[in-house]
Amino acid sequence: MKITQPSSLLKSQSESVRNLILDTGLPLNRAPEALGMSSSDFLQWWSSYGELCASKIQLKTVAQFLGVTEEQIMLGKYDAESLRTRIFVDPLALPEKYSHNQFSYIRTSAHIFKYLAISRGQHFADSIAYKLNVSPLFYQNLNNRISLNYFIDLLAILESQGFTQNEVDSLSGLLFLSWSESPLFMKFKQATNYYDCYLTLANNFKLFDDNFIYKSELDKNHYSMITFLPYEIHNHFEWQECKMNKLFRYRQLLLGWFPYLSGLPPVIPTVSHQVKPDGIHSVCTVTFPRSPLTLLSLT
Amino acid sequence: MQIDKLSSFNKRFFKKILGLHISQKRREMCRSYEDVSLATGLSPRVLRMIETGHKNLSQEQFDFFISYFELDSNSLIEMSRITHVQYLMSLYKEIDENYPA
Repeated sequence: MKITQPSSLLKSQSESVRNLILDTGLPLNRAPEALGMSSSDFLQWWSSYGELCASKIQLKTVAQFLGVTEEQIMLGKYDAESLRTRIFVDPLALPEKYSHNQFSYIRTSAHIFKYLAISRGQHFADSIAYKLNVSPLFYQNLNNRISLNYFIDLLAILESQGFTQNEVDSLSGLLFLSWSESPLFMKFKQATNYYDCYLTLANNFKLFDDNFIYKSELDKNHYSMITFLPYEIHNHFEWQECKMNKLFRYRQLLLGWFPYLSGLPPVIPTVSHQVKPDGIHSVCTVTFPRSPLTLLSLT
Repeated sequence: MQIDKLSSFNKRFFKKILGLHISQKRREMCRSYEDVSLATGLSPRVLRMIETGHKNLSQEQFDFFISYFELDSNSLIEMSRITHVQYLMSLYKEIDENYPA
């Protein structure tokens, strides 16, 4: 490891890493691994009391080890308790904000992380997970569950990273990226018309989330998804109108793109929302095209 | 696989994500630009341009990269589908009155 004489920036980085270790109680026998240092280098640095500084690489390594960003460490803006849980109990532990009311399966956002890795690189995709204080490894099991707050924050972070509305909209059509080998995808693939496609969806709501109370109405020409988001069981939500609008916009487009999984052109649904004292009532209706165009084959 | 067909919906974006994919494969296989340059006859500068999505690939070069880096056809189709979805989404935005404002 390169240990340098302190400049003010390096000193500040070093102090921040030292404070992180003290705040979280990261055991000193695990710290060398967490910082990507040899044990002897770590001891030399730890016992130098500021005379020697760790480099930016150590800051980066420990940030990845704990699933936070470098900025959060530098500013001391991390949830020490949840990091302690991650260190001592479960490396995949979620921050409190996402661990209450874990009604969403992460399969509903796995495709977004795959898209980020394809379009910006794995490092960028991981950095988005770190910004959300979530381990990227959480996506290894698509049956893991998380609060809807997480998805709302994910959309907001993508926007803050410069994603245009068009690009965020297109994410709703990319479910195939993470589902292509799943039994659920095969069910959609077997559907040859809109009716069968939306019947598959109606029969498998439980594999997506339990945030909403769902009801389906399906006939040969229409599919309506009637949802109710009750305030009563979602008092943990950050109810900001603009954030909720983004969520509902995404869900509207998402509903229209299920036919794409069946090789059919998507259909943009009509939507109506009613905000009532007990929660948000919503009706999304897809009207099936009479003679749908066939999607182009790419193979 | 025909590169013109795969990239037909958005050539620029397809080049970008294909370049990233090639770069990732090269690093996974621990090959330097010089190694690939020797195998392909393309200069390291051109290879960097390909990896950053700033250079078009001919069909012959594309075929070579598929074979040399063992690029998976499903991954390439997925990349193309991404551009397809983005293309359709922009189309719907223009023509579909139900598209959210």
